[in-house]
Amino acid sequence: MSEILRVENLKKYFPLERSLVEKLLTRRHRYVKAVDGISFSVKRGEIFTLAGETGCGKTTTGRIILRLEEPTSGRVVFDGEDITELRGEELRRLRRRIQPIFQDPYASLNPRMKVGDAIRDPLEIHGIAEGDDARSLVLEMLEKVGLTPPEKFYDLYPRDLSGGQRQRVAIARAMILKPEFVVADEPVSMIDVSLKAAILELMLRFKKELGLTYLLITHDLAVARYVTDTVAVMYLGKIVEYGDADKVFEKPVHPYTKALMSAIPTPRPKRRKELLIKGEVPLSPIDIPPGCRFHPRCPYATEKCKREEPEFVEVGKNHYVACWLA
Amino acid sequence: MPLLEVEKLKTYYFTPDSVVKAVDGVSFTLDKGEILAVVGESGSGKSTLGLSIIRLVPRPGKIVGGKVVFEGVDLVSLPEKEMCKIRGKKISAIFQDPLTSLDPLMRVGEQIVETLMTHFDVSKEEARERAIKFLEMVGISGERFYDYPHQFSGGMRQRAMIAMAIATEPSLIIADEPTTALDVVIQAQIMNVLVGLRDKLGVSVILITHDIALAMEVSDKMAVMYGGHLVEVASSEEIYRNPLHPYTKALLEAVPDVEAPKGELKYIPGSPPDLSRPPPGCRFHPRCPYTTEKCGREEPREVWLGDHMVKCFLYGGGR
Repeated sequence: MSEILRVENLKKYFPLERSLVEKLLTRRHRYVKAVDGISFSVKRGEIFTLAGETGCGKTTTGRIILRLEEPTSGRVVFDGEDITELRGEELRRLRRRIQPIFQDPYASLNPRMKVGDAIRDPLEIHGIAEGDDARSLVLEMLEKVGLTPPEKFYDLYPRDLSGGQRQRVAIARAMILKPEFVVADEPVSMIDVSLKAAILELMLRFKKELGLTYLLITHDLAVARYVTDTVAVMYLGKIVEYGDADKVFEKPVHPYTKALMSAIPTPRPKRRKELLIKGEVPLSPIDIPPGCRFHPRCPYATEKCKREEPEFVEVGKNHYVACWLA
Repeated sequence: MPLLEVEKLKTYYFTPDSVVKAVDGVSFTLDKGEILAVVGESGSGKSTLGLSIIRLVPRPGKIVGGKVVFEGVDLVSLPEKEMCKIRGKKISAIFQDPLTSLDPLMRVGEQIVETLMTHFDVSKEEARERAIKFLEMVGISGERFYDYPHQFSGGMRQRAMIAMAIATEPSLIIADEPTTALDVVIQAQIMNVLVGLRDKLGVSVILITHDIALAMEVSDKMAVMYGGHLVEVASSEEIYRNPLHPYTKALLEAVPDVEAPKGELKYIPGSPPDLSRPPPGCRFHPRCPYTTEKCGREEPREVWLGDHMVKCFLYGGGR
């Protein structure tokens, strides 16, 4: 499979607000290193998952790829072209090819806009269709995402819909542009468990129909496992393990991935297991630990881990881990 | 005698346009030292059930029927003044978002001291010692006593809430989605704390959650709620091995499982009922694969198969 997206040594540092005293003392800016030098490659037609806990940098990475955030350094190459510098008309053309689906369909839809108009909007912005043509495309799309009868749903407002139905609208709005690449940030995290699979199935149907590539961003490894081809696990702005999803999920090697997998509840009675991790993620990723950034929480940490940052090693075919013990 | 007996409890919300029957005739019992998980999806009425037990249902909600017998006393008919002596002392509550439950302008330790001095005749010094003891029990160093909530991480705030909840040595803790806002590793740590406290102090816990996998792992008994009704109650072991209600079965198939061989994730067609206009008969019948004409007409009664309760015509349940 050919590559559709490549991220090279991507960094995003957010400067911290300085107090007046700090400014007067001309103290240096301090930074939150949300994304701190990550690289990965996404193949056309696959589902690539960025997984990790709150604050690991997965959402920021997605936002940079969507061009909602400027990187501090590094490149994002989409279909052979660095997209971090695109402006104006070029950027608008890119947006048609890369679309987002966000976690919260309550926040991502305009409450004062009819559902049909929300889906129609992108068609008009990108000059694809207008008038009756646009309307019939929207009705067709509503039908496809299971909001039937479409004529009725066209005139409803987001408040008239359930969470699952709203997420269907958000998906319709992304898919009406027939994008090539979709960044889905926690698309089913707010959906009830009885309906999660229905939304995932809908996303997979569009993947087949449009030959889509997905970048799935999630903390929910249990759900990710069902759909992911390639996964990258992030911790404090870095990727710690990546490769074929089946290998990473079935035989995780990095102590962090192992701990994360072991902490996920499994639907079996009386199965509290020992946690292979200490403490918590630092309150804010300002003071990143030296060496391997996971070492303060790692039960296997050695002196070397505290001093030197590990490089990726190949532990199996298409399975890479950044850990001194690997 | 069980610690808690809830009998045919009904809590409705009276809005200008409709009556929302959030809890509509719920019965169950809870023993001392038992962890009961009430599982259900959003809008199933599980949170209202928890709030009803401690009588904190917000307006326009109202308990309109049934009993909540706690240590032999019916809380529903208790005067508010008496209820205040039980709430926060014998029955504590932990909610999803500790930031809204903690006073941001008050030191964490002081908040526990305040709770203790409200409910017990103790000096400030004694209360302080006790607060530190309970903070340490949930894994927070006593040195953090004078910290403010904003200096704590999300996980620590929830630990502090648990410390506050157990400091009065209650016999029952109601925990409503206590770890939903937290990352999975922290969630596992908090759950270990909660289960540890049950083992050590013998406190009973009602864990209200949408996370069936989590419920299954930590609870002794499970109550499955759908559309304001409890449709199945049994030991967690039993629910795992032998789920009876079609909703429970479908729900278990929809739960992603990282340890099982990768199969297909299933879902339940349709959507949960609107409780201001619940469907007639069994509330699950519009989504049920086994539905018959009778299911849409009549409401099934509770059927008891040993200690296993199910509300479904497939197992009897007729009149």
